[in-house]
Amino acid sequence: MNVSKRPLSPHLQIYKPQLTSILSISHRLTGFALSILILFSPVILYLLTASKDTHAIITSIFENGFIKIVLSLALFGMVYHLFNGIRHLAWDAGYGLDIDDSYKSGYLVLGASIVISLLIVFSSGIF
Amino acid sequence: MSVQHWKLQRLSAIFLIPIVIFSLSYIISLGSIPYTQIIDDLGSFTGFIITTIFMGFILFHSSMGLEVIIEDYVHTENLQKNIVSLSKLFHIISFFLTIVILASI
Repeated sequence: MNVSKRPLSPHLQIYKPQLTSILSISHRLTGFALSILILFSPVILYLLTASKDTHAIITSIFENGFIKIVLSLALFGMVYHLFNGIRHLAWDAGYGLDIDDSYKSGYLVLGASIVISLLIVFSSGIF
Repeated sequence: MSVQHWKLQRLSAIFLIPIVIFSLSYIISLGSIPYTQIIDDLGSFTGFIITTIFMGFILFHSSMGLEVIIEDYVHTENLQKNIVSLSKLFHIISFFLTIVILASI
């Protein structure tokens, strides 16, 4: 039997999207994206610290509007992964596991992530 | 083995909560901090320790997370093992590069 041909569960194409399932896959997606980002962070660290010239490369890249949006999205991904991670830790400890509580904590995580990300973006002087 | 993986993933997550909250606003404003300030901050002993702890915990957590994702979506046994090993290698390289860069400031 060819193991790799077996279907994935849940069958995402016929699985009705719900807040809980969307937040669940978002946790994995943001985790994956942040992993890739953190693996490349030594390059940024090197350019920032090697010399004034290499530092200038980073500051000029950071001035680009598109990069600012990408950075803000990465920040949102990090804040979301942090808050939803705390939600997961609460579940692991046995709290908030019923459907009603899962939805409440889901909306709370989503709302808090948006508000906190906007606060950080606008208070850090990126824009 | 899997139980230990599960525990370490959660444990590193708990440690990362204060570390990330402490570092996030600094990281996001890196592009607007003057060169001399960055050298002062990251070149100091405290800066070295904080950045090493931050990168150590985040890379450890990231490596474990990627391992689970790879195991879920790559079903060919040999390929799965090779990709997981490659991912771990990249994380280790990334950590050592961070230390070398910090030490040479």
